[in-house]
Amino acid sequence: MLQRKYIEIAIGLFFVLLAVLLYGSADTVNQAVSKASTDSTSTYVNTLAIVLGIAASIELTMSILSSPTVIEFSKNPLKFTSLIFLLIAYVWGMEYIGFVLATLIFLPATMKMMGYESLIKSLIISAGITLFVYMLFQVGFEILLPEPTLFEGFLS
Amino acid sequence: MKKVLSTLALCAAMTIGASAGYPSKTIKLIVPSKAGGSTDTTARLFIDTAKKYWKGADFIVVNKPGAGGLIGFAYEQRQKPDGYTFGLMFTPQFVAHIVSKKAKYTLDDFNIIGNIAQDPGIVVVNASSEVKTLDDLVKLAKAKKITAAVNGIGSDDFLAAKQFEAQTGVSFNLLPTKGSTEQKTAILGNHVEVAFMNLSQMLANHKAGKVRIIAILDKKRADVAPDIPTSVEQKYNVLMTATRGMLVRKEVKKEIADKISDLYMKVVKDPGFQEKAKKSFIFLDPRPGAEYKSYLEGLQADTQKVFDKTPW
Amino acid sequence: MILLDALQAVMTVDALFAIFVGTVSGIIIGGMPGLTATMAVALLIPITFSFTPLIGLSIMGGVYAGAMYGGSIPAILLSTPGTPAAAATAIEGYPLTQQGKGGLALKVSVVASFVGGTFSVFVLLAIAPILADFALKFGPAEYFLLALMGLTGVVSVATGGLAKGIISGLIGLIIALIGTDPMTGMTRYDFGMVELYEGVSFMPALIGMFSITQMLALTSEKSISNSDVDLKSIKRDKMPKGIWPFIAFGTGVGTVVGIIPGEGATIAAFLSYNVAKAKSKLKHLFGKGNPEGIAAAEAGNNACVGGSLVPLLTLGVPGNTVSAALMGGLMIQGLIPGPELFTKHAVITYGFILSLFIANIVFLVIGLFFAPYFAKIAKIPTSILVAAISVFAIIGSYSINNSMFDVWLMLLFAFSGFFLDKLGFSLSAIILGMILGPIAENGFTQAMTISAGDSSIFFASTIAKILWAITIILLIQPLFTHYKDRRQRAKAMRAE
Repeated sequence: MLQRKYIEIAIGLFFVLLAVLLYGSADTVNQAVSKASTDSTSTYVNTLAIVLGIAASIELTMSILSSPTVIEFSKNPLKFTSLIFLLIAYVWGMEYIGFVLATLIFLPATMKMMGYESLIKSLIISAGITLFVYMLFQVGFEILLPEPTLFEGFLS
Repeated sequence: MKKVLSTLALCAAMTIGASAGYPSKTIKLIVPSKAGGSTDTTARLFIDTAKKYWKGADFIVVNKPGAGGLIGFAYEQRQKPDGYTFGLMFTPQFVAHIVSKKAKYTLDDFNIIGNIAQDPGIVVVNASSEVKTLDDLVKLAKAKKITAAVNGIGSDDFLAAKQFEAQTGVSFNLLPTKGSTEQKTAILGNHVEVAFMNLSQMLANHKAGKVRIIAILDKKRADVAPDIPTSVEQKYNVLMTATRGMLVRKEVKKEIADKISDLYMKVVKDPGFQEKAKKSFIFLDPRPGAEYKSYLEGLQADTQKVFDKTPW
Repeated sequence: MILLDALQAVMTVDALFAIFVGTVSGIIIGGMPGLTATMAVALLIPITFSFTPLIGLSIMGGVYAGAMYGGSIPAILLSTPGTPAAAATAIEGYPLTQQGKGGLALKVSVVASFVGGTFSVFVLLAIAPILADFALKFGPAEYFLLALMGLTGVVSVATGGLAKGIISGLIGLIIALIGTDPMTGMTRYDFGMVELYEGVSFMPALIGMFSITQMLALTSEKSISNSDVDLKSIKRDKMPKGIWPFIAFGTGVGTVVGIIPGEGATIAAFLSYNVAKAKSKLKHLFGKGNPEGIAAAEAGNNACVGGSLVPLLTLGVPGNTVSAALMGGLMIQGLIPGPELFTKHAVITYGFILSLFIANIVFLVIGLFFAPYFAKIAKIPTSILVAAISVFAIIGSYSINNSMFDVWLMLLFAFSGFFLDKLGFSLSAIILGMILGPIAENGFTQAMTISAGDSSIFFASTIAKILWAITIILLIQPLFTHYKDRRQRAKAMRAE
C-alpha cells in the first residue's frame, strides 16, 4: 500500500539530480587524443543530461500535480518477497557451496514456497533440472559453473 | 564433522603436494578475451595439441573477457597456485596496465612459461591511396592533418602511432576505435587516411589488393608476406609487436612449473599445431620463459617512457 | 555451373546430416540464455578441423541460423529472450502467450524467421560483392544516424506517456556510458569496480528486466495463461491476415542492417519492429500482443544472418561476434575471406551458402511441428516454472562472461526494473537505449574526430540524408499518436 504520488516525486527528483550530476561530468582535457574527440564526448554526455533534465522536470511537475493513488506491487506480497529473498540467497550461496548444491536447495525451496505439494516429486524435478543444466553448460559447452569454495579455507 | 573436514583437508593437501600424480584433475586455461577471437583460437588449438602429450589430462577454456585483458589478467593472479590454472596473456596490454597503474598485479607475480605467438604492427592505407611508403606518409601528414585509426588508447596500435609521431615530428588526428573491425572498415571505406594495426588483421585484404600495408613495424620481414618492407628498412626505427604468451602464478611448485614448461615446448614444436596456427594467421614465435620475461621487462620500461610523456 | 557443383556437394548424406545437427544444436543454443552461437563456433573450430571444409562450415552455419531462430522460442513463451536479438520479439510474443495464443506467436515467428533468413541468404548468393561496397560507405557519421534512427523507437515502445518513455530511453543511454570512454580510454562512472571497465554487460541486464521481472509477477499467478491451450486449435490456427507485408519490412530492414559491419541482429529486430509499428493499422495492439511485431522483428534478426556474411566473405570484415568466430572457422580450413573464396574455393563457398538455405528449411519444419507442444508451457504450474526459469536466468547471466558479478547485476536490473515498470517506465526503452548508446556515442565522437569538430559531416553523404529523412518520418508518426491520445484523454475527462 504505497502512495504512487510520493514515489513518483522521489523518482522525479532522483532523475533531476542525476541530470545535474551528469552535466559537465565528461568535460575533460586529455593530451593523448585530439580536442575534437574529448569535446564531442562531453557534447554527447551533456546533451543526454539536458534532455534528461527537461524530461524529468516535466515528469516531476506532473507527479506533483497528480492526485494521490495507491500503487500495488504484487497481489501476493508474501510469495513476491519470498522469491526475492530466495534469489538473493541462491546467488549468494552459490559463491560458497557451488552451483550443484545451491541449485539442489534453491529449486525445491522455491517450488515449496510457490505452493508445490509433493516433496518427493519436487526433489526429482530439481535433480533433473540440475543435471540438465550441468550436462548442457559444463559438459557440453565447457563453461565452468561456480565451484564450491567454502571448504578451501580449511585446506590451504 | 570435524573428522570429515580434516580428512578432506588431508586429501586435498596430498593432491596439491604430490606433483608425481600431476595432473590429476581438470586444468583451466584462462583466456582474457572473448570466445571466437584470435587469442581464444590460440588457446583452443593449444589444448587440442596438449591432450596429445598429456594423455588423459582434461582441459577447459575459461573466457574472462573485458577491459583490454585486465579482467582476465587480474583473474589469473587470483587463482589457486596449484598448477591447475594456466593463463594466457597478451602484450603490450599486459604490461601497459601495470604502467598505467590500472593493474593490481606486477610481472613478478607470475612465472612466465613462454611466448606462443606474435603479431607485428603494421601501417596500412587504402589501395587507392597515393601513400606508398612511410616517407610518403610523413610528407602527407606534414601537408595536412590526417586521421589515423588506432585500436583504442593504450593499445599496441596507439603506442606505435605515438612512437611514429615522436620520431618524425608529425602529429596525427588519432581516431580511437573499438576493435580491429572498425579500423578495417574505416580503411576499406576510405573514412580515414591511415591505420596502425596488426599484420594478421589485414594480411588477407593486402593480398586481395584492397589495402596496402606500407610497413611492418619489425626488424625483419614477415615470412607470410615477404613483399612488405619493414619500418627499419625505410629508416624509421618504429617497432611494435603484439605477443601472446602463457603464464602461471609464481607460487606454483617448481616441479609442476617445469612440467608445464615442458608441455609448452612440446606443443609449440608440434607440426600439427604449427600447421593449424599458420592457417589461422597465428604467427608462432616460441620464446621460453626467461627470454620472454626479459622481453616483457624491456617492454614495460619502453611503455613507461611513452606513458610518462602522454599518459592515458 | 559452380552452383550445380556446390549443390551436389551439399546434397550428400554427410553434409545434410551436418546441417541438421548444426541447426538443431543451434535452436537449443539460441533457446538457452547464456549459450551463444559464438561460443559454439569457437568450440567447433578445433573439432571441425578434421572434417572436410564444407561439413565443418555447414555445422557452423546451421548453428548460426538455428540459434538466431531459437532465441525467439523462450522469448515468446517465457519472456526470456535466449539471445539479445529476440528482445523485441518478447515484447509482443509474451503477451500473446498470456492470452493463450503462444502457439500462434511461435508459428508467426518461425515463418517470419524462415522468410527473413532465406531471403538474406539469397541476396548473399546473388549480389554479395555489390553490397559489400555499400557496406563500406557507412562511416562513423552514418553509424550515428542509424543509432539515432533506432532511438526514435523509444517513442514508439513507450507505453506510460512520452516523458516517461524518454526518461527510460535515457536511463539506457546513461547506463551505456558506464565503462571505458571510447575516446580517451579512461574509465568513467565505474564506481571503482574492475568488472565495470568494459561496461555493463547487456545480456544480464536483458534477462533481469525481461525474464526475472516476469517471474516476480508470476508469483501471484497459477500459470502463465489462464485461457485454454488446446493442441488441436493451435494446429488449425492460420497465419494472421495481412502479416506478410510486415515480414517483408523486417526482411528488408534486417538484410540491410545485417550487411553493415558492427550493427547487428538486435538492432535490426528493433528497427523492423519500429517500422512495423509506424506502418501498422493495429497500433493500439502493439505491446499487448500484436503478431505483426513478432513478424517484423523475427524476419529482421534472421535476415541479419545472410547479411552479416556479405562483408565477412567478400572483405574479411566480420559484422558481429558470431561472424568473427566463423572467420576463424573458415581460416583454419585454409579459406581466407576475400575474392578468392568466390573463385578458387567457389564450390565450398557456394556450398556453404546453399547449406544455409537448408538450415532455414530445417528450423522451419522443426518449428512448425513443435510449436503446439512448446505452447503447452503456458499451462505448466508456476510453482515449477518460476523455480526452473530463475535457475536458467541466473546460470545464463553467469555464462556470458563466467562472472558472478554479472549475476548480481542481473538481479539488480530485475528488482529495479520491476519497480520502474510498475511506475510506468518502459523497460523496452531502457534496453533500446543500452543497445544503441555505444553505437550512438562511438559514431558521434568518431565522426567529430574525423571532421575535427565540424558537424556538417552528419549531412554530407547521400546515405546520411536518407537516414535523416527516415528518422524524421519515424519520429513524426508516434509523436502524432501520443498527441492524439492526450487529446482524446482530455476530451474524455471533460465529458465526465
